[in-house]
Amino acid sequence: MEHLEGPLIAAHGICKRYGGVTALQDVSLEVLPGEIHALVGENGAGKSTLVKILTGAETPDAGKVMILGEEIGTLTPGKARARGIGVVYQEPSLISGLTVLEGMFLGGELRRHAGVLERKAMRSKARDALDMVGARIRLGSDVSALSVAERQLVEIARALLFDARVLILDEPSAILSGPELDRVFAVIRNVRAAGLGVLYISHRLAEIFQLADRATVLKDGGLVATRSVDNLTTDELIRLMVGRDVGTRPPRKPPRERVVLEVRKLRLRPGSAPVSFELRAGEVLGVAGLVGSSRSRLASILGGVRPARSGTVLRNGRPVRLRRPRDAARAGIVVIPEDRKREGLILGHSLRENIALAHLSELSRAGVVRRTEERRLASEAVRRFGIRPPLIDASVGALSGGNQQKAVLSKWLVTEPPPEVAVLDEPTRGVDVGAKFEIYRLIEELLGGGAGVLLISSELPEVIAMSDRIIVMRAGAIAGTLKPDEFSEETILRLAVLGEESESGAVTGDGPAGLTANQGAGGA
Amino acid sequence: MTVQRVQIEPERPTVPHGWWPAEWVRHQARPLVAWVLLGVLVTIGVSASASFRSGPVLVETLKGATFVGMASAAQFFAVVGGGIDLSVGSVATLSGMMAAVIMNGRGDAISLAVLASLGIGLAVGTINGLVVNFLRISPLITTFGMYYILQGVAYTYSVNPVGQAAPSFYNLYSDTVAGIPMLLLIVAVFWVACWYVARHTAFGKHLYAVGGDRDAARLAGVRVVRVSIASYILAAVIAAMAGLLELTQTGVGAPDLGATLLLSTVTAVVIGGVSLFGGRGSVIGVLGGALVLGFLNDLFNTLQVNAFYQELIQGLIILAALGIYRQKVRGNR
Repeated sequence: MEHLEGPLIAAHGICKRYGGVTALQDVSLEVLPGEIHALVGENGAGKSTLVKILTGAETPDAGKVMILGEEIGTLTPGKARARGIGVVYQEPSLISGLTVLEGMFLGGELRRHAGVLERKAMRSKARDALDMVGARIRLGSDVSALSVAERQLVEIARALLFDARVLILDEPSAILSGPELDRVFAVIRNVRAAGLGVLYISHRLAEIFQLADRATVLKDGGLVATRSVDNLTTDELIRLMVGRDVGTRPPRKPPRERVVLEVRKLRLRPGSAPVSFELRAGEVLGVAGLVGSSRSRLASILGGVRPARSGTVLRNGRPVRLRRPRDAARAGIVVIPEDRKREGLILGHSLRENIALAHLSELSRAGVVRRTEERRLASEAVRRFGIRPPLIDASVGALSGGNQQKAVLSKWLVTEPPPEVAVLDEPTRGVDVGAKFEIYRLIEELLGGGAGVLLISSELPEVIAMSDRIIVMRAGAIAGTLKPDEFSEETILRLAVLGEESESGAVTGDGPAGLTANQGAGGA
Repeated sequence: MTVQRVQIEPERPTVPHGWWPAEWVRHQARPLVAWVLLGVLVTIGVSASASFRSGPVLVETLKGATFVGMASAAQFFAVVGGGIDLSVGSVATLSGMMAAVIMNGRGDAISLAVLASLGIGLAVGTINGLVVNFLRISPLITTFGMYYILQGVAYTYSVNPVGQAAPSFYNLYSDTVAGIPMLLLIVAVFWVACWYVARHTAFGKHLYAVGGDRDAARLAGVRVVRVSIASYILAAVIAAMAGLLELTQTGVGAPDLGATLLLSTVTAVVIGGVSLFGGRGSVIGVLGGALVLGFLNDLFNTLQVNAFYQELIQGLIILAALGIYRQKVRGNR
């Protein structure tokens, strides 16, 4: 048995920027032999980016990655695997159309000369690995026929397949639960017992205290601390994750009595408790929760993108049916989706065309689009929303992230009369500070016009600063509703992670589904 | 560097072993559609015309289908890797012309002619692959541009048939071994080789993976650019081979030799159940698709169907095939 000394994998001074957004700033991390190292932080703290840099899937702008004390020139996923890095990414990475066996060995096939495959050896290794994680899956099944949990187990088995020295798991408990997760924990502990290392990423604090030896906390792309878990408490860990300055918002008129939107017993996921709430004119109702808590599903139901399973939505006291996006627009509900590149804008088209697209019927007469009206609307949007550069004929793909986001907002909000209900899903994700405050200003403007705003955000300081009330979601249901005097990041995070009843203790066995597949909501 | 293995005793053997009929059928369902269609066509032909029943006619039909079939295999490798190659027809044309000119009737120049033809395929495929992967121009545009360039080269060289295949070369078309046409033997070996490369080599697996999800393949450590370029090279080299094959029949290098291949290869691939989005499909299905096209032509001739109806019926078959695959995809998800 090889005796390993020094860190198995180490990152030194990693920096990474995407466009204008800093994802990681001077982050260092070491995984030692025989340790389970937890990597924690809020959504968007940079955990998944760090994982991708450790495995060569992304190249850092500065800093270096050392594997077994050796610096690797340009790390690629193939090189990382050959050096014993086994990884399960947060987003599913098995390719449908391939079989389980093909997917597991993809890129690392056992071959004889001339690329001919060693099928027999591959089958037996794959079976061993699947047995290890306790997955009852046929090697010949098409990947697309597997459940989400089964895929996750296959991915973990794949990470073990190539004699990994370091196992990196990016939020396995977001998908797995119950006995499957217990089995994975057993595998992780066995890996540690064999003197190898594990880097374990999770939102669930209880898991970290159950499993990990050390924990590294990231916040806003920066390193907060690496601490031994033994002398760390849950409260301390939460403080490390969230502690930062919270901006104060300008004084605002109290919400009016009139309820502009009421949601009654809306079931977001099968098996979860139904969701009910009211939104008043002039009110910001914040929606907090972890990735996968169905916040975005709520937005897509209100926008008519996804059908509601059961429940009613009332506008000004009258029930409305939301079967397609047009229905929502007609009911005066504007939903700004989270993924602005995919759902909000046509990047190759100009600002003018993008803005006009949402208002073609108002802009045209007898089916002919009036160009002057179109230009007037676009100029108005540029002026009111401060989009820079103010060129209405430039393609929106050339705008910065913040200005793209303002373009999406303007596309829907420039309407006359202004919308009565605005649902904003992560309106400030990926934008710089300046653009952020302009977006806040726009929200205030909407409120002044008598609208109610549903603000879905992963950024707790933002939710706290902007909201009149906050609902915290967990696993498809409302875990708690907070009034301003109860606002604090600790309270919100505790509700989001632990639920209302259990203040601490076993989280792993919680509920049937835990946090399931809704991974579309981006992440760290 | 010794690497240590993690030993964890399984609780019980959990992974099911052995063959599973339902799974096999699901894997084979897509190619099956083309073969069922082929069966229907042959049945119609046999019941409608006595001449369709005869062995010689059948052999001629098969021989006639070899050219489009081989070019369709070229298209298969491009499409399953997530691209498309619209230049296969013009590569075949140029390859056939070049070989005919080099041979010019002389048997001792055959090997040089064959090498030169394959060299054209290699060069064109490399350029296609590099342009698509490094200049990031869409495969459709890249290979369509290449189609025009090569067709232009061919017509600039000569608008009339040029050169002359050597007798020992074009005799391949009529030679038989133990009563079996030489041509069909060669083509059979070719198809088995394609099937083997697609299903049983690491390259084949990587090709499906790159076509299915390029990002996921990259994360798995597949060198996606290399695989993608290789798929275009393979496609163009096979297209050049198809040009040589056609030369055995025509004997001279005509600049319109591969003119019909642009659409017929895509048609064969689609009928054969290959997804135009890449990552799904099989060599066996493509073979079925190519044979369907070949038999359809013969059937039209036998039944003396009006040429206008021929196109109409072909169009209907394509739409019907796509409809069936679409249904299957829905059922799976």
